Amino acid sequence: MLKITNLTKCYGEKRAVDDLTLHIAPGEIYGFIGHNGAGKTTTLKCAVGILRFDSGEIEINGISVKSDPTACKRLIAYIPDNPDIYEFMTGIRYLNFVADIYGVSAADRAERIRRYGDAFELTGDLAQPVSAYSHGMKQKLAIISAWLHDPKLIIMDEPFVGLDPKAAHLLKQMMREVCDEGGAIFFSTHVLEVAEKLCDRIAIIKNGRLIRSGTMEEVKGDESLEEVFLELQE
Amino acid sequence: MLKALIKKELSQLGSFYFFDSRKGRRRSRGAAAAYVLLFVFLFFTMAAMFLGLAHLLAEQLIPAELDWLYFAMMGLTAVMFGVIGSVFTTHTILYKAKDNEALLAMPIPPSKILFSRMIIVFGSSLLLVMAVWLPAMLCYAAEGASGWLPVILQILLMIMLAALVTVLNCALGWLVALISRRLRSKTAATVILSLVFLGAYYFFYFKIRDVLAYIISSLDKFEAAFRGWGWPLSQLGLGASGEVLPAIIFTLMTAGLFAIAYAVLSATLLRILTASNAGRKAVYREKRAAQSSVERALLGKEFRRLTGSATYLLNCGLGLLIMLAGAVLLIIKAETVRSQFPAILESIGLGGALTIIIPAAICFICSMDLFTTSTVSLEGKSIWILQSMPVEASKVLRAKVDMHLILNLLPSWVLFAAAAFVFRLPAADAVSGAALVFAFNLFIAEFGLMMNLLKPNLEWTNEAVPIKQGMPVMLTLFIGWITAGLSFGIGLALNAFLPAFAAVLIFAALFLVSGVVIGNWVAKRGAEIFSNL
Repeated sequence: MLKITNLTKCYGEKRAVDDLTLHIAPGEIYGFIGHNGAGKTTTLKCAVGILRFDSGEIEINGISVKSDPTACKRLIAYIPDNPDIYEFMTGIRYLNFVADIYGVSAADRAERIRRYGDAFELTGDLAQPVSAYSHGMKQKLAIISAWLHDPKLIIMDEPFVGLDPKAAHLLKQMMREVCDEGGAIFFSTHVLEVAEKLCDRIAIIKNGRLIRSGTMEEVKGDESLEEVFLELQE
Repeated sequence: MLKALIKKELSQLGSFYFFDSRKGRRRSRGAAAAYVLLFVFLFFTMAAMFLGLAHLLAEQLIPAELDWLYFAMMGLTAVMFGVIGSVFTTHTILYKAKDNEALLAMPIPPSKILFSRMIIVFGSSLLLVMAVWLPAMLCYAAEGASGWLPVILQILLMIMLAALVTVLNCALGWLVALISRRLRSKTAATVILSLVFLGAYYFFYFKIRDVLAYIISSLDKFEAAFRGWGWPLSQLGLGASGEVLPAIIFTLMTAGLFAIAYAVLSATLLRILTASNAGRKAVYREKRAAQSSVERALLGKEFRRLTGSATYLLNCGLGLLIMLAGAVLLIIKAETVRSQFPAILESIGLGGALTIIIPAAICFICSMDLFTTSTVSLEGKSIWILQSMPVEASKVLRAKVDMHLILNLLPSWVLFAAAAFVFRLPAADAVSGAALVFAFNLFIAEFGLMMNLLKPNLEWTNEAVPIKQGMPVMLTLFIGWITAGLSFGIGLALNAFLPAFAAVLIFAALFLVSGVVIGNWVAKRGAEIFSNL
C-alpha cells in the first residue's frame, strides 16, 4: 500500500529524515514513534506529497508520489498534528467542500456525514462555524472529513490528541475497520500504550534514522514498548 | 513587559523584510536591505503624489501670509489620507489577533496589550501622515520660510496628527467591535458599520474642506470667523507656521484625546476579547447537498474566505463600491458632468482625450481592488488542506484569479458603460475602452497572484498583516498605478499619430499579453511553488 524507499529529506544542513525505508501492507495499522523532532511529521508530509524530498522514492499502490501526486492523493487521507481547518466555513460546509473535491456523490456523503457525525456526536454542531469549535471538535471534523471519501490509506499525525476517551475509542475502531476492509493506516503517536495495543507493526525513528521496525512482537519481545523505546532513545 | 509586547508586534509587522517564510530562514542582509529600500521608494512615490497639492496651495496661500491656512488644509488632507489608509485594519489589529488567548492567559494587564497594538496603528498612521506632511514641509521651506523653530514644531505636529489619526481609527474599530460582538453575522455587521462610520467621517471631512475652500475665496469675510469655530485646525496651522503656544495647545488637545481613547479602550478590551458568541446557536438540519465540480467548489471556497472576513472584504473590495457608486453618480449628474468636464479638459489642453482618460481612470480605481495579492498568504496554516487534496495547484490558483475577475469586471464595466453613455463615446472608442478595462483587470489579478506566490506570508497571527501590509500588496498597487498612468500618458502621446481607440487598443493588447504570460507562469511555476509552500 505504502512503500517508502531510502527517503532523505534535509532542511539546510540538517538531515531531518535519513535514508528511511518502510513498507506498509494492506490491512496493517502501522505506528510511527520517536522523540520530538525525530522526523515523524516530515516523513508523513513527504508521504502525503505536501513536502518535497531530496532523494528516495515513495509509492502508494505502486504510484509514485513524485511523478503523479494527484493520483496518489485520491487514494489517501491525511490528518495533520494540528487540525487548522477553514475557520470561515461551518462544519457542514467544510465536509461538503471536501466531498466535492474528492467527487463523493450526494447520497454517499449524506450517509457518511450522518454516520460519522452521529458517532462522534458532532452532528448538532455542524451548522456552527469552525471558528467556534474546540480543538477536540476540530479534530473530530478532520477525522470525519478524512473518512468521507473512503480512502485506501489514512495517514495521521498524532490523531488522538484532543479527543475525549469515547472519541478516541471510536477512532481506534474505525482504524481497525479500514484495515479489515483492505485499507491501511500509518500514524504517528507519543502514546505508547495506544501503539502497543493498536498497531500491527511499528517503526521507531531517532534523529531521522529508522532504528527498529517490525511486528509488535519483533520490536518489543517480552518487554513493554515503553521500556524498549526508552532504551533505544538513550 | 511593554517593550516585549511592542517588539512582538513589530517583529510580526517587519517579519517580511527580514524573514523568508517560503525558505523558512532569515533573509540575507542584502535582500533585507533591498526590500527596505523598495519600501522607502514606494513611500516616496506616495509622497510625491501629494507634492503637487502642497505646491499648489503653497503658491497661493504662503505669499498671502496665510501660512496657518496652508498647514490647516494639508493637516486635514493628512488626517483624511491616514484614516482611509488604515481604518479598515484597525479593528483587526486591536481585537482580532490569533494570539489573544495566549496573551490574556499571561500575567499581562490588558491595557499593555492594547497599548502595544495602538503603537502599531500609530506607526502605520504616522507613515501615511508623513506621506502628506513631509511634502507640505518641503513646499513651505521652498517658499522661503526659514528657521529651525517652525521645522521642530512641524515635526511635533506631524506626530500629533498621526496620534489624531490613531484616535479616529481606534474609535471606529472600538465602536465596530462593541456593536458587532452582540450580532451573529459579525462580518456583515463589521462591513456595514465600518462603511457607515467611514461615510460619516468623510461627510464631515468634505464639509470642512468646503468651508476652507470658501474661506480662500472670501478671505476678508470669513478668516476671522473660521479661526473661531475651526479653532483646533487653526491651532494646528498656526503652530506649524512657527507659533509655539498654538502648537502646544494642539499637542495637548491631541494627547488628551489619545489618553481618553486609551482609557476607554483599555477599560473595555477584556470584555470585548472575552465576549462569547452571543445569539442563538445555529441548528443543523440535514439537507441533501448537490455535488459540485472541483472548480465550482474551489471558487465557492474563495468567496467564502472573502465574505468571512470583514478586513479582507473592506480592504480589497472598497474599489468595487467606489465604481458602482461612481456609475450611479455619473448617471444622476449626467447633464452637469457632460457640460463641465470636457470644458475642464479643454482648459488644460486635454480636449478630446476622453477616450483615453476614462478607461485609464477606471484602471486606476481597479488597481485598488487587490483580491489576489494576499489570497495565498491567507491560506495560512490551513494550506495543508489544499496541498493534501487530489487537485492540481493550478486549479486552486485559477479559482483565485476567477474570483478577482468575477468581482471586478462587472462593476468596472458598469462604470465604463455609464461614462461612455454620459460622454456619448463612439462605438469603437467604447469597445476599445471596455477591452482595456478587461485586459487590465486580468493583468492585475495575475500580477498580484504572482507577487503573492513569490512573497507569501503564511505565518501571520493577524490577517491584517498579509492583507494590508505585505510587500505583494504594495508592489501590485504600485505597478497598477504606474501602468494605469502609462496607459494614460503614452496613450495621449500615441493619439498624436493614431486614433484614440487604436491607442487604447494597443494598451489593451499589451495588458492582455502580459496577463496571459503571467497567467501561464502562475499555472506552471506558480503551481509548483504553491504545492511546496
